[in-house]
Amino acid sequence: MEETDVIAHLIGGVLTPRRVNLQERDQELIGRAGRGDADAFARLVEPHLASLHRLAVAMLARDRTAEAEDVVQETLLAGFRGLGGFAGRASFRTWLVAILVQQVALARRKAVRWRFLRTEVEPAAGDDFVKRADARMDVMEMLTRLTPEHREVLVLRELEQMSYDEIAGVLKVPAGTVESRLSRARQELRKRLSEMTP
Amino acid sequence: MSGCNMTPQLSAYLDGELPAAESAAMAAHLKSCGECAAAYQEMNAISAAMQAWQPEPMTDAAHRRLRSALDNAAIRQLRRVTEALSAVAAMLALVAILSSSSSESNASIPPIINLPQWEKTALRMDDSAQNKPVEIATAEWVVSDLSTGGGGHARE
Repeated sequence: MEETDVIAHLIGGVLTPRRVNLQERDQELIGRAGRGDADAFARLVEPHLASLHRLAVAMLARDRTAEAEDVVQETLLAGFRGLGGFAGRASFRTWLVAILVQQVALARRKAVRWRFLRTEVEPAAGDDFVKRADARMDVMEMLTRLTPEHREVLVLRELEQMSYDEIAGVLKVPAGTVESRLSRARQELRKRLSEMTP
Repeated sequence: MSGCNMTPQLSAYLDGELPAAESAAMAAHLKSCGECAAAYQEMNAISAAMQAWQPEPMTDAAHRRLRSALDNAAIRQLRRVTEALSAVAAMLALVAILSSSSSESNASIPPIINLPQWEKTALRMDDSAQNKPVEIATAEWVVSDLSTGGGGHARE
């Protein structure tokens, strides 16, 4: 990967030095996609598609993928339409993640037709904490039990490995809020997992 | 759940977001506080589980729907641009037509008022008055107007 630019990155009102990797290929594709080339946009987002889908599923915290697929689709359509607004201050991926977070919030507002699945989780075999936390359904169940605010910070941190400043920029909240929400989210998860102890 | 006042900072320590001095203090604290050490291990395990977690991948049908939605969006975008360009072209054509018709009609606009000869002479609009001294020209229009009934509008 060719690192072409080092720029000041404005996130949440805090000026943070950030190295942005904009490959020549990406720049060319962004230019073409901005002129309405759907092929170019599809090639541009292809490397991020699986991650965006993973984020959407985790943020929705549901055991169904249909809504997550809708959210990904709306995210990419919004990105395609709004590519002119991408100024390159953040990485293209962070820009897409910020759109995805907005789309998840929109989907959440349509909560009338949502029914949160509160499935009872089978305790995993053994009492080893790591084994229990490793089980896939446990992760989904844990996420489902969190509030949307706690869930989104945790997902952005753990799945996207974003820094607190980056999360603050995406969610438009102070970095201190990110820190306290993460701390509470983890305390909550520990509490849930300890309740699952046989 | 925890009585230690350092526990709330464990999360930022785990993420490497504590300032260096606080991070060093936390590392030292973890060696002496069993409660925080256990909590830290649990947070680490949750973190590892989440990072390893993968949902079912997007279906092929979802990929096809996505691609189709992008193509449709591109077509709509192109149509909007075409419509906007057509509207601009139509507007420019209308302006050109109006401008052309306006200059043609300007050329044939009749004088709003047919001034009487004496007024033309007084205002020195009459070519014949241009080269004459004022008093002679004035005398001429007085005679002229008196001979034609005077004071009224000249019949031209």
